[in-house]
Amino acid sequence: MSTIVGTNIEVTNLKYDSDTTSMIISNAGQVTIQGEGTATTNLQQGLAKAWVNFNGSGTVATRDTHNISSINDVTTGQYAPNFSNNMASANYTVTLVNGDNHYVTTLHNTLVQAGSYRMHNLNNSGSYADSTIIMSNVNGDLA
Amino acid sequence: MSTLVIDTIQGKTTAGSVNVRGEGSNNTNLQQGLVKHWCNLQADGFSINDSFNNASCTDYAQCNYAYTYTNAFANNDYCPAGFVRDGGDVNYVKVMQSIDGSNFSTTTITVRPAASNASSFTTAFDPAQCCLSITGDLA
Repeated sequence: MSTIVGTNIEVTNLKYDSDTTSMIISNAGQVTIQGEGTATTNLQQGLAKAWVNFNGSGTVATRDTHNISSINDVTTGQYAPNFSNNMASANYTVTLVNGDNHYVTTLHNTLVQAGSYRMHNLNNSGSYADSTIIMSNVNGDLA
Repeated sequence: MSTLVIDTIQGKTTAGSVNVRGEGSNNTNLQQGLVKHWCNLQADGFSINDSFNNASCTDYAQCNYAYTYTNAFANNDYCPAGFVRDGGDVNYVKVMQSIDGSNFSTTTITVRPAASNASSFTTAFDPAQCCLSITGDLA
């Protein structure tokens, strides 16, 4: 096995052997990779662009994040994570999970923007409530 | 056109950290963006339809299912996303947004699907399928 160590390697194809292309890199830096079967998929489109696990009770505190610079504690049960590197538009997808039995977490109908998004956490009576565990994933296009 | 024939791509500065160009001008981290676990669980009949990095699932009780990972996470600070698939009952909204915070570790997670309608905000229910995917740091 050969090892190439370098900061910049200019290449178009990455292969396991001469017959098996694993990755194709376009002139825009986009990477097409071989899927599990015969189809290919886009690496950048398949990557989560941000995620966060945070404590939303009391003083909001992140446990771990990817591409999240901070979280605004708007009011009880309402939080607004801010991206480190913004998304290209508001047309991204967000998933939301909480750590309380049968609570529901929803996305604000308008406050989803390239730089941040706002979520509402509701208890099982339908009222705004804080949770000690809130988790969110973001997929879409980076700016 | 250049071709590189390789088995493994590894970060130079940090072995487990490779940056890739995003859709625009920003870079994003490959490892942080990858889904580390996913599982399509057939909750009615209780079988795993397909999965990645999922060793097993456990049916604890109504609307109370555990997923156990093959390769553990580095800590409890990872980030799951869930979705249910269920037929009928068009007046209900059904979600899998709650986890059992007391049964959440580097090796397992327990999810709590819920259903809502106009008279009942959230109640327990057993969906046909529970789909889970997780981002975060592997051990």
